[in-house]
Amino acid sequence: MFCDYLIAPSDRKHARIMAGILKKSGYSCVGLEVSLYKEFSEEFEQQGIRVLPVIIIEAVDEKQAKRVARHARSRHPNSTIIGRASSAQAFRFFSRDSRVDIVEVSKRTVNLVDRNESLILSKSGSRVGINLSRILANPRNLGWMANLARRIYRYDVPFTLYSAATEWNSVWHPRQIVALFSEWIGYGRYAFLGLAPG
Amino acid sequence: MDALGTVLTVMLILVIVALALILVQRYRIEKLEGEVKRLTGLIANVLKASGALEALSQKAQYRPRKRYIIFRLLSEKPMPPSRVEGLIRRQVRDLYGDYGIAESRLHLVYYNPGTGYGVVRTTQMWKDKLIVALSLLRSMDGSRILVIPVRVTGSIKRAREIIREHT
Repeated sequence: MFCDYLIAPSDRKHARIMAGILKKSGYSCVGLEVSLYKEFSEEFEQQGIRVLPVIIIEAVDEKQAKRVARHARSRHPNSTIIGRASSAQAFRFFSRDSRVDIVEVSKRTVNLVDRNESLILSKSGSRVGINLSRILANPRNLGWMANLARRIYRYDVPFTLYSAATEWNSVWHPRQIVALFSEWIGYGRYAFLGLAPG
Repeated sequence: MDALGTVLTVMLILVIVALALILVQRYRIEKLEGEVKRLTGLIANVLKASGALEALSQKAQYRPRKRYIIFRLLSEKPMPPSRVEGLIRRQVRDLYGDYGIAESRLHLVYYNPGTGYGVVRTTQMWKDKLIVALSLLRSMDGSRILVIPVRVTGSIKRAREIIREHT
């Protein structure tokens, strides 16, 4: 029912426990980094959770973004590509490029999420990605993430949520995410749009 | 006789005028009262429609409505209830300050170290904030923990029933 588009378990023990917790929490699919796919996909498939290969690309400018996106799609045609941009040009490129499936938003690029971004993403078929591990790394990130959630709600931007969990205690239960959205935008169930598979 | 008649006529006229003035004054007061009632009724309807009256009445309530959050604590080693309550209070203080501790009226009602199920009481306005605070609890005394919210209920009786169903 729910999908966590990025997890990166550090070892087999964490992967096994994560699979059990995610299954009980209602997750039906997870995204595993390509480098960990062969090693840990079996742990999740045993629990009946579908596993998707995911590749993360990073870029500081548009030229680099173009190069890494082309390279990633040619090498991994069936993977979900998450783009992390350090500049506005790279962010806009990832947004309009149909090869990139998810564009991760950071504190630097949060103000670029607006009505134009919504139009660009709907044309390219991509989505904005919210990495929930940033909240666990530093709770002060709650501030700009609340701003991001309000922008997503106001401009109807397609989005997805993922935990980027490396250990079993870093996963997020859907009810926790609903409480976050309830605090941010006053409408908790909006979070389900970001957890929906597909 | 003529003088008496004149005086009586003048007095009668004065009485009629006085009565008329009294009647007019009363009518004006009644009309004003009527206008005031109409305006206050209009204002009350507008406020009611906007929900402001409800919010005001809720704020002005002496006792806020309680909510019981049922959670399950997954941990690498068993935790005593006193440690769990201290941890939750510290997390709420870190996120929302001393004001948060006071306003949330937080209290750990029940916790079973064996099953990991617990119930924490708070007010209706603070239930989502408390779930966010519980979500950010990921380690305690160096060991990994995860707090999963199960349900939110309005009574402790229903909370106990739900825990019984789960265990």
